[in-house]
Amino acid sequence: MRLYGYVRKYRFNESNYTLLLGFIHLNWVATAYIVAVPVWAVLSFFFLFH
Amino acid sequence: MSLITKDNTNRNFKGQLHDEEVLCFTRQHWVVFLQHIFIYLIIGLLFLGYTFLIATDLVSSLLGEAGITTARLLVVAASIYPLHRFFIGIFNYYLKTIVITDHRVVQLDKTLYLNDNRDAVGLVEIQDVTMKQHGIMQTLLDYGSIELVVSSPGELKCFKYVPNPGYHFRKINKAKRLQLLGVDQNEREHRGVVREVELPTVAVKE
Repeated sequence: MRLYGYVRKYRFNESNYTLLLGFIHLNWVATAYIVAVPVWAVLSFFFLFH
Repeated sequence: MSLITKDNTNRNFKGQLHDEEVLCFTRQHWVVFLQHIFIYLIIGLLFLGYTFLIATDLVSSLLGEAGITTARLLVVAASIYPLHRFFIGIFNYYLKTIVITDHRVVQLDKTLYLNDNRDAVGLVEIQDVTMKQHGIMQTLLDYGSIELVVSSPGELKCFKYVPNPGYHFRKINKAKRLQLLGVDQNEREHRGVVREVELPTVAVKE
């Protein structure tokens, strides 16, 4: 939780005043990252073992 | 007569001074994303390659059933790594920023967890600003490099992959000129620096 707070304070919040490419917020990228890795792992596992 | 200033400490970026105004900021040009696209291509090739490799009877006869299972698990693990690198690349791209303020040019070079580098060049230290845009790609996609010649001997600060370099070149020059001339009071008041009114003293007769 401390690491999360650190990342949020000094990485995410500092970038709050703008967006990536004008519309992508860093929180979206973080969410996509958290979702994509397990989905990719499950799909590739399924693909290779069936 | 004293001035009450708006406190900008750490307002837009960590390390911002209390009387420092951000004029503009930039990140590297999106062309640096291309390398991450290549990583995705590598993921696809890995998948195709390993799938065909595992599908062949030759490999299965060499490795055996247990070996095939291990190889498949390794493929899953190996394919996650480039995905991880892709997202970390986006984060790092996002966090690498050049900020032009009315006092200095700051380069924030951070990564998600480990690095936090800040490099600032004061506007008064800048001797010369050079903009370089070479080649078809840089001209078409409008990016280039900006070099700052600093008063320290032999020191050269270079920002690569700067998008719209002409604009940032002009911005640094303008900020430098204002810094050298000294910003007049009207400009300061326009930017939120409020002059404290000195009240006239009233002599009380006893």
